[in-house]
Amino acid sequence: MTDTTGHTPLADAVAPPDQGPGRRRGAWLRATCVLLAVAVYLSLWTAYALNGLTSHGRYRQYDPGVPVTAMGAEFRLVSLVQTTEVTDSSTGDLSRPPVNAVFLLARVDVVRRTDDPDLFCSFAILGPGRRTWEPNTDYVSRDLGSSCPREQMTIGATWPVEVIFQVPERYVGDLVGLAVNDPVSRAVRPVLTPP
Amino acid sequence: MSTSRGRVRISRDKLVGVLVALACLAFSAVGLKVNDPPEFTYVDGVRGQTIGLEQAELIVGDVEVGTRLVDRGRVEAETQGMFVLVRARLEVPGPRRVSLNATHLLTADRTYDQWSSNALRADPGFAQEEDLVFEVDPAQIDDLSLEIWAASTVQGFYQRARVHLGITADNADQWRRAAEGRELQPAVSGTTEALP
Repeated sequence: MTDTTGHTPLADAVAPPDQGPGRRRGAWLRATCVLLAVAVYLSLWTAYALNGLTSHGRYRQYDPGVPVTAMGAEFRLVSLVQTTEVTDSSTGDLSRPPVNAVFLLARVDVVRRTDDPDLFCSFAILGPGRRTWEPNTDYVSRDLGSSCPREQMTIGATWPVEVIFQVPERYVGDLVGLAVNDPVSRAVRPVLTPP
Repeated sequence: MSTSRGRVRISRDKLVGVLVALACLAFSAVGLKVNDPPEFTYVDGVRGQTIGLEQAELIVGDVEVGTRLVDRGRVEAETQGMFVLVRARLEVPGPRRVSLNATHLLTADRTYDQWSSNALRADPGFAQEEDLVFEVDPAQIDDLSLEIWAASTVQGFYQRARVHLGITADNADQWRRAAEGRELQPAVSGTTEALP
């Protein structure tokens, strides 16, 4: 092929790239894309950190007696009783709470609805200012257990549990309810209130 | 980039860009290093007085010394050195459980780990009192200080309480003499009570 300007096709191919406004626009576009990606990443990470990484849980309180479904099971708070004595069912010994504290006995009916392998009976009393108290009298033997062994729980059948908490007397009048903890999830925790 | 007679040529713009990027990296690395915060801060306290720590209150109380640990009349341990028992109380008025599970005694050049494995742990609204026991070299007790803090697997920035136990070079001999042949009866388990 003959070129009247004296350039060959090969010379065109190795000619310096365009230095004009088109190249500048491309550079700005790339920089904007990078900045946008960084901004999106930071926003997503911040949202995740705020909602998911905090150990200060998020809760939703339910109406009195209303059951909730979590971990493939239905949880219903039957009663939440305050006492200053708990009897050990195997020895008959009386246990008393620490000074200025009371026992709270929570009776919960658990009905397994699905074959979810992540069913745990983990509870906490939720108080003012998102204070929580976990069961801490496991050494007291009771007629009803406090755990949910999946292999013993028939789907559709009620499995009653009893959980004992120690709570400072000063907070008893301000308690929110019984929180159902899902150890493998960071989702909002349901809070049951007695009927 | 183009080649000429086998040599690689880089345009001036790209070279400047790379150099600027490297300069930014070096600058930020130096800045991070210079501003690298310490892992913890000391909260210095005085024996018998309340120390604010991790949204809780710590009181380092009585200090006793001896050479034998006794539990219900039975000698549990005896040392050629000296046992130091420090009574500490943790109160948690705040909303979260606090666990001070790491502690040691320090002098200018010695660190003594806890002989027992007790930890101060209290739920919101509760207080717990524990006896912390250490085995120390009686010849190295000048300016003995207790350090206690909340240790965890994933450790961020935290506070560490530091309390001088009152043993100085001037009175160390008195403490050594007081320990000779003396029995200590540390509480087996801590006492818990709710805050009024």
